[in-house]
Amino acid sequence: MKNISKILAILSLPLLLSACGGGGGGGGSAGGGASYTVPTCTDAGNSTIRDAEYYGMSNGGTYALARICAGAAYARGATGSGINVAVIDTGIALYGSGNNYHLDFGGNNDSLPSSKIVTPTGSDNVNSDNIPNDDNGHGTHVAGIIGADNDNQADSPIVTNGMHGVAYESKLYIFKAGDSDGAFADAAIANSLSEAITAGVDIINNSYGDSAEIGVDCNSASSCETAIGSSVYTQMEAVGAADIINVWAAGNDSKDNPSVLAGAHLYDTDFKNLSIAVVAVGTDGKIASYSNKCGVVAAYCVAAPGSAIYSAWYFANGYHIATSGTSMAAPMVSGALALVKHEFSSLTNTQVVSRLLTTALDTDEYSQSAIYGHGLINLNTATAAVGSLQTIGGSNLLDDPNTSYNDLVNNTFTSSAAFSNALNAAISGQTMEVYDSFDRANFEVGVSSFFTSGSYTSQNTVENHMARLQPKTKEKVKHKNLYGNFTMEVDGNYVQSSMFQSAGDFLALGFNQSTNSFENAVDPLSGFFNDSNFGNNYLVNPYFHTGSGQDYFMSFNGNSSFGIDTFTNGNNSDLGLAFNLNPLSSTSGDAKYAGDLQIVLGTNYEQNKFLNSSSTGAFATGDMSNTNFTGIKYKKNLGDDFTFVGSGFAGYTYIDKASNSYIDKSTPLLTSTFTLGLAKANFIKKDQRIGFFINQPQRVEDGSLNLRVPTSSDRDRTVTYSNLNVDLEPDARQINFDIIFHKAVTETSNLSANLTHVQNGDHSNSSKSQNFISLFYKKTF
Amino acid sequence: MLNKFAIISSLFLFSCSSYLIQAEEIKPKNLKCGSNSGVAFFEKNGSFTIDDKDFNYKLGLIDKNLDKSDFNFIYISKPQSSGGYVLEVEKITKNKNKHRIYFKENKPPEGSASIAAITATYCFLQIDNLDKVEIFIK
Repeated sequence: MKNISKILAILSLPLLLSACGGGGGGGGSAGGGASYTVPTCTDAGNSTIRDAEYYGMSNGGTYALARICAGAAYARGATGSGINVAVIDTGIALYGSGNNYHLDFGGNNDSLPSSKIVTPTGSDNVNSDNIPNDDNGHGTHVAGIIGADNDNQADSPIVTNGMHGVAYESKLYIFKAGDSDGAFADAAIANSLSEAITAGVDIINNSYGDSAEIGVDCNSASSCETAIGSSVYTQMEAVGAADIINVWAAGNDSKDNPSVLAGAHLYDTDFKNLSIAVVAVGTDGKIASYSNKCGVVAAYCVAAPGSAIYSAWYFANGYHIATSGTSMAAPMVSGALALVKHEFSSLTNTQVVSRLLTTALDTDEYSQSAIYGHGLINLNTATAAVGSLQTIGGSNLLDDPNTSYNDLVNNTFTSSAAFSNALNAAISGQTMEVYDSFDRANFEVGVSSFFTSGSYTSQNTVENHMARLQPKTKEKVKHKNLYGNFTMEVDGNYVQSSMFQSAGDFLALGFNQSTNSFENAVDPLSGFFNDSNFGNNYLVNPYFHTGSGQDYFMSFNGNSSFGIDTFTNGNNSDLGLAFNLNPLSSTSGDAKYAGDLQIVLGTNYEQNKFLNSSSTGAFATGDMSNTNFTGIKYKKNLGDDFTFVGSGFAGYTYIDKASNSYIDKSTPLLTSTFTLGLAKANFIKKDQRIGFFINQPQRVEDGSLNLRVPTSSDRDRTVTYSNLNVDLEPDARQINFDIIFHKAVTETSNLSANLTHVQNGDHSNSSKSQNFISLFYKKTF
Repeated sequence: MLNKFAIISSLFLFSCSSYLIQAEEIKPKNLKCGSNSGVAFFEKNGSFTIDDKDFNYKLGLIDKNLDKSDFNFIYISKPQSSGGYVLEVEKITKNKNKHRIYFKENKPPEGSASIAAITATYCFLQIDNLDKVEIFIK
């Protein structure tokens, strides 16, 4: 009865093959319910990858490589390079006295090297020699499916269209175990398996089998060993012990289960997780009429295209033909495994197998596990992240229970424009590894993908410029309290601030909202803000990051003062402290030529930041990055109308290294900033003022940090980190040129204008010059 | 009853011997047998004579140097589920202008392994004075 079924199945083959070869007729596949549809994968390959050879593997308008989404793997860089695949078959086609390889494998007259093929000593186990010449054609065909060159050459004077293998840069180790009739002796199989182990291959392809059925003709390790024969079975166990992947064609007897050779791993834990049985789908995507099904081996079985697969043929050098069978499906899987293995250096061979099985297309038609096992292999999902991509938390052990991982979105670094230009240049093109949450498969990402550049340009806003233009308002509200008369000035944009000022030369106590963590140290008692020409902010460089905090100050007399400022950033997580000494005060002497000098010494502690560069996750910095700074501010009245102002700050920043952070060691970062300006009152007309300012935003003058990022991982599940030393000094110096004009229109309304020219924005010599014009009108009601 | 059986048997034996006497066993002038997994080779199978339009095509799929001067008859078996099958010519007889070719296709031994590709066996023959052909498959 079984024979009758087999014959019927075989008889139906010509219909199927006719459809495959000529593009007509039905698919001729069996199995699968009529209600199921065949899902397709999404091939992310581009047109360059999907060239003529990509479509060359299959005839009749159905393309085997497209069916398994190989283009997506190629687009991600997987080619099989460095992966060694053994082909135990009928040998490889050799031509001429020099035993030249088929052109598809880099033979003579081909541009590619012939190092693709390796024929180890004793590799012909049929004729007991070292020259495994293919006298059947099957071995050459199978080898082509795995790894034929992708050289975009016709490869044949006979047939114009070429093809390439699934893993077209893999290396093929040829072992001849099948004779010219395609028959395999046990001794030849056993010897070939043994030699493949010795050769140290990664994957072994076995496109042969027996007619016995797993689960029927044997159902235990011992009974299967008896069925297979101890010589071959012993080598199958040895392959598992050597951590080599073994791929088996399921057989073409239209049975419900694979052959015994293809399914023996079901009962033997020694090689269960390293072996795969492969069933074939036809050109319609459904199980081919001839193919055995996955059956009891479903957990270790997968499907691949096997009908009318076009590949190299021994007939003549460069020749190709289409053949059918699970023999053709198995090398599709061997090639796919080589791609996965090439793509993910961090995976063990067991994980490579598991990944290909787990990511197989298993919906609709392929949900029938008794037929397709895990489904149709899908190289798009197999080479994409499974689960979420994560950074590793500084450990070099992927599987250590103490190793922490962090989703990519939680790893950020927003750099200060004080050094973003230098940082960007240093990390441009640099890559690092991240890992998916499924099996810690390694993915390469650009280091720069985590970084966002801060920009001073973004601070060239009207709002910022307006802050510099706002004049001091005339309104003053006087209050009285226990200590005498206090004055609170409502000072333009400074309206939220308060200033308490003592009268006369008595001790003054007070506080003030500071506006700039680097330049905030201005003691209101010094008289700096009592200028009548411009608002209090005209000394403030708007290109600094701003913070807010409290100023505590003491004034010992009318001519000098001493103040202490504290300040925080926007989220109040930083703490700063500055001492302000005001040895000169405009309140002394002739106000017409009076000058103010303020010296500032301070320190600023930033939580999880430095120089206002915030970061998270693997790029986090510690709680106590510290900037010690000093500065000087000077104002000098030059007669009745002119006022000179200047300020400069410099500081050293010490980055606090966070545990397990990729931001490793660093040298102190020296930063600087300055502002110079000249203001003139009564410009052309009374109540018109003009000012010229030159500003340099904060810039790193010296210093570096070391990025220590994971750059490779090995199959022993260890991670290697690489150091990337980044000199943070930018390649240029940003200078802003400002002209400010102010006109008092009425007693209660003012008109101001600002023109700013920015040179080398963000300290980058590649930045184009920028110009900003601002107009501002204010009326007080 | 016994006599009747004897008469019928005698007639049958006479008939066969008469035929056997007339049939001449011959050897092919040229013979090439093998197997092939090419879809194009076996999607049309069976017997092919030199008058068949696919004749040269089939020869060329095995060896591009072969043509009608080498062989004048092709037999391609129905495709099998694997390799390991061997087709052989047991004998060829000629009776008047009719050739009878007896093929035997040997299966792979039970439990043996062979390539898992759909494969057809074939024999190319050159037989002198080939006219009508009848084939027998064992």
